[in-house]
Amino acid sequence: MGSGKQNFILGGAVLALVATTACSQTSVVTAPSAKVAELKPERGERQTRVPKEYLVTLASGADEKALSERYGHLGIQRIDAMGNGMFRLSLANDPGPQAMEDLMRSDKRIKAVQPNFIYRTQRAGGKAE
Amino acid sequence: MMKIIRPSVVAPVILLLSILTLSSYSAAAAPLERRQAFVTGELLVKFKPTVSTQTRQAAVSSTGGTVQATLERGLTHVRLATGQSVDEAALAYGSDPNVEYVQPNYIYHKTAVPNDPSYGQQWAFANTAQTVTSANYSTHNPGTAGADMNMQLAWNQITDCSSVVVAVIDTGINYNHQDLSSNMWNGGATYPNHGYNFTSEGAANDPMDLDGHGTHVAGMIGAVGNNALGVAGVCWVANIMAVRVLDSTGSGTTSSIISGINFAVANGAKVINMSLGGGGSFDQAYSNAITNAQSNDVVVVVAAGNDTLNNDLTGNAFYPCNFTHSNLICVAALDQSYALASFSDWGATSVDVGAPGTNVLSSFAGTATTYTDTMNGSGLSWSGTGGIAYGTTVPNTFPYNGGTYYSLNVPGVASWPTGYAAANTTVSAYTALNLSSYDAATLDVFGAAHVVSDSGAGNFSIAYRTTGGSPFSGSPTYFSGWSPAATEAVPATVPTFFALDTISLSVCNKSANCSVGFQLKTGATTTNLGMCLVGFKLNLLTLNNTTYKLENGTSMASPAVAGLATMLRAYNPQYTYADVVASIKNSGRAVASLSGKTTTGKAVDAMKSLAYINAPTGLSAAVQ
Repeated sequence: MGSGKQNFILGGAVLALVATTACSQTSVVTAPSAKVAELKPERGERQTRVPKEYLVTLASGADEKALSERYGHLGIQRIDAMGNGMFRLSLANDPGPQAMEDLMRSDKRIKAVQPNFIYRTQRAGGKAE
Repeated sequence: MMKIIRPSVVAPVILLLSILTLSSYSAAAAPLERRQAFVTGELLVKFKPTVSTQTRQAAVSSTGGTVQATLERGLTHVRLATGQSVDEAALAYGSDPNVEYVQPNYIYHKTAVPNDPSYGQQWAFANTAQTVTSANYSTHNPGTAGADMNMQLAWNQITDCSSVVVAVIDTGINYNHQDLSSNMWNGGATYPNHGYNFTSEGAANDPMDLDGHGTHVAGMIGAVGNNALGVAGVCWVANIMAVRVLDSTGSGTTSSIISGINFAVANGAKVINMSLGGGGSFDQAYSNAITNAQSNDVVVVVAAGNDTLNNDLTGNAFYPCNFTHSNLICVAALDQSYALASFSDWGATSVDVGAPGTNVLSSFAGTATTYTDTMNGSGLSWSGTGGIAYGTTVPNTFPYNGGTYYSLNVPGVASWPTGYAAANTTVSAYTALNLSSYDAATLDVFGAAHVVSDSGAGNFSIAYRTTGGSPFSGSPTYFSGWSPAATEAVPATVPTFFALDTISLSVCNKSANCSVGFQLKTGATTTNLGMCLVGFKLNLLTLNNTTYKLENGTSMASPAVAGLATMLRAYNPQYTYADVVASIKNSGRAVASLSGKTTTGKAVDAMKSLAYINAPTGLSAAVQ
């Protein structure tokens, strides 16, 4: 799983303070192998959730159609039952976690909603070679 | 009054026995004869210094026993009456006001050393200040003799943990590995491959490891010991369930992980190891799954994380380590001198114990290699639209470090920023990959989409094609997270970048004709857009059943403790999760580097954990 597009946007924010240009000629050049080996995003810079995916738990007795009625306008692309009333929703348009929570609060059929967070192995130094 | 002595490492049981009723003892622990190797029909009785020889003799005779020998300072070697058990005699002597303490006559053996040929490198189990060869963590190599888990004494007591199912919730396991295959969980016809795969890669019933991490973790817990092959695990005989929730990039999601936890719990696992983690918000669904494990009496052992951070601080919370469930143990990594590993996270309220986590040798899924494109024209062959050229990239346009790097520039202008793609333009670059020799491949990429001025909508994407040619011809298939957004917000006047990302190439596994490409589309009013690709590194894996590897990380420390938890449950079948957690946290060895940085300040010690007896609650002691 890649961290994906979110880093693209995040990177733009980080670089907003950098007033320089990319990709110009200079004299000392480092091989890309060294570059890739050195790079490691800090914890706060890593992607922490899967874009466009949420875990939604229905209230007891609520029908699954509540999902399409509440979130259908976001373009539900896929629904996977996770058990215990929880469903994984894949959306065409991602309104963000806060907006998803706001939608939940307005519908008593929805018990909980949260991002589908990303977790990684805790091997130091990246992938083995 | 008889002195109440806290159980020691070697002889804890009988001391408690002497002040508890036999029935309460039986409820608290397994029969003595199974727990400790000692001479049946004999005891060592320590009389108080003021007790005369005649009184000692009379006391022994009154129980039907005989004095075998009088050792120093009132310690008497007693032969019990025929038919009298050690338990019964210990209770009798324990109630004698002339007796200080009583204990079995223990039998000691040469410490257990497995014949696995690489065992000498496994400092975590027996640190002799050996130098780990080909080490990739240089600090304290060699380290300090004795800074280890004290496994050899523990192995005198137990090496077979197969009565307890331990689930490795990870990247899967190479269940065919020579040091693991006989220690894998038997899932019967329903789960013929020893577990389940909850990732989107591969078949659901096949938790084969296409990363290597999970196989390494599994080997630490239960590589077959004393089989004259490779390494030994904490448990020489084990029952390991493979639960694949992390894909070949080493990443997974809440949804896959909670499915994995619930699978493990439902199928009888009593110990779960999760050498994984993530920063960010509290994850309620994940927490609920661990609560489910707790309700089913399952111990959960997790990694503290590798960011050299204090997990207790606001903003540094790292899950699952920071969950507060009573069945969860979070583990920091120690080096060969029991200093905190340079990468290890810590937390006085969130991290519990330390365990070896540097230069850890264990089984691995196969042969791992890498290929890094030079990005100067002498590496992979690139094709594209809009023209490509090789140039260099200046410092500080990339956030993680300075330096100037070779780069592949699209459109083809070697000396940026003198040329860019025009509005309503599509530029792309792709390369062909022959991955027919590999079982798994992932791609590390890093680069920039350069925006000098943009008032319209552009987008960027990464795609693949399994039949060769441009991945952007026809209907492109985009990698997860890298499809073009319909209206992507592109920051104006600054260069923006796509950070180092690891992309699974599982779609190309075993393919001789796979292509990977990058594409930038400019909007109607967009000007001065371009891409420069700096990093393109392939991580390649060919499965085999004979590979071993050194790894570092709290990922490696966690299974050391999970193995110990499994051993404790096998040794004490009646133990609850609370007993196991208490035995690990309340025993162990105080380590200066963990003081104030973990809840216990201790490194785990297998023998001390085995010897630790949880005091029964709700019982009254008859103190004489």
